[in-house]
Amino acid sequence: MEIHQIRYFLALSKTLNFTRAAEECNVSQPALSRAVSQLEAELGGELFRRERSLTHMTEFGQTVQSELRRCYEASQNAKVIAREFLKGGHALLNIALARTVELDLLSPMLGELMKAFPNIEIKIRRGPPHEISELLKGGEVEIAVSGPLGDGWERLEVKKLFEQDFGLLLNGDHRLSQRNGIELTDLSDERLLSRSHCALCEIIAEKLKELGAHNFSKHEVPEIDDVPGLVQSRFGVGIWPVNRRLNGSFVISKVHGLEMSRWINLHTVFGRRLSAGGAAFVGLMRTRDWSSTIPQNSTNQELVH
Amino acid sequence: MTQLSLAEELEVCTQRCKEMDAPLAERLSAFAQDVAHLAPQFADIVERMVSRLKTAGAGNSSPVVGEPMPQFVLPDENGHLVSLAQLLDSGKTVVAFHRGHWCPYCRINADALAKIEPMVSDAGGQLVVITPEVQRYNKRLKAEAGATFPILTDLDCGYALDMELAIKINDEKRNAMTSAGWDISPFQDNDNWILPIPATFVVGEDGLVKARFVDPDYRKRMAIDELIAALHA
Repeated sequence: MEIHQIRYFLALSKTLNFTRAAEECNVSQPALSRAVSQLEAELGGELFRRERSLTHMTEFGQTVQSELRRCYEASQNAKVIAREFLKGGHALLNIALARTVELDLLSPMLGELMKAFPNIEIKIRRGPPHEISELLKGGEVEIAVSGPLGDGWERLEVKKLFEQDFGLLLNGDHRLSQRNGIELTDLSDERLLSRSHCALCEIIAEKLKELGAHNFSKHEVPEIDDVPGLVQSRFGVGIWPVNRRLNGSFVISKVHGLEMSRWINLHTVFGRRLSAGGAAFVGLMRTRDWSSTIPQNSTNQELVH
Repeated sequence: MTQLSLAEELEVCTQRCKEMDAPLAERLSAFAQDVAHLAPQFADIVERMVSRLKTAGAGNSSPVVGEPMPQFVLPDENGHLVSLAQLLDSGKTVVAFHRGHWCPYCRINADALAKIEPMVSDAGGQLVVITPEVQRYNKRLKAEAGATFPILTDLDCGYALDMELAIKINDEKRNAMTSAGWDISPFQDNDNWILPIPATFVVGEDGLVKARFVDPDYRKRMAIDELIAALHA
């Protein structure tokens, strides 16, 4: 496939009009028509039914459209990265992170960007899912790294990165800390330190309510890093990412029958051009071998299953 | 007893062809004969695809000798960004596009390239392989070949398209590959079913192409002699 053939195909799939597509691509109509026919010959199928004013895309055309668009956008990204790299490395990167995603996880990729683009300016925001979603929609950030945004916006492009594992954070001398296997009902007399917008906290509360645990209650705390101190002061039990750094005597436990993990995804906006820094960051994040880079548990905690 | 997939059946052939004491072209062709023998239907599908791509002139517009090689900045198998400009600062560079760690022809080719690394460096050159696969699979290709050259990820075949080397796998070939045990989607982190033509370019320190091998028949690769000669020229 040739890059101009795909460009003409994408223009034609938008306009469904050979004359207008040719104008948009700044070529003659026969040249555009010929290039699309050549692409059809290589793909081995018709992309369009040519019916003058009723020209429309075939089912085959519709199927390959998004695949070819992604490849075309990738070629634009590859070009913009190489161009900015040669120009001396000026770039901007605006990203949003979920509050549970440690910056440490991204530092190898950010380090690579700094080497390739010495003048890069990086701006990082954090927030709960709905805020991240708004930042993406409004174009204030071009990339978000977070759990599901639960938004259903059709222009959201989602790529799975790695699974983040959570556990119940208990003070070292908590009555459940030495227990081999915690049941959901064991939590019925506990107070859960819930972060605002924590999906897992809400699921636990919901399930306990279903089980009729009326004594269960919550404290709401703003930030994930407020949780350990409050657990230590015996305000309650917390929900904690298993691999997050932690100082002090704690135990992280699983709760039987409770799914305590979620996917951390890379979110971008379909059809929106990425900056050189953004494109390079997306490439580094998507190609990374996450299985070998998720940090191991720090030493001051035990993991009880 | 479970039925072996074609990919599994061909594993013995791949190993045998890797170890054959013969020029690369002979080893690749011996493997192609194994495929034709073990899976004639699959081989027919390959022939149809190659013939369609050849008729369409796939790969013809990629840079020719004397033209500049398009620049790239791509992550290697350890997540470090590698640029063509930096590679050329340290000498002539052989850029080989491979389809991925699953492809027997690429495994035979990568093995042959790993074996000539000392010769390449004696000629003042270096090797780099580019695939559309994410790092964990490029690590496998590299480890299996025992290579020291970097293997870079060209995500979604963007650079391959920039080089006019991207091809779309049609449904017939895709189904044949999937049932043979080669579902490339997870390797590439997409469902695009787009692959590069496994071409090889020898690029001079001036950034111009010194030698080029482009054949939409993915069973054929640049001869090792030709590659070494281009580095010495």
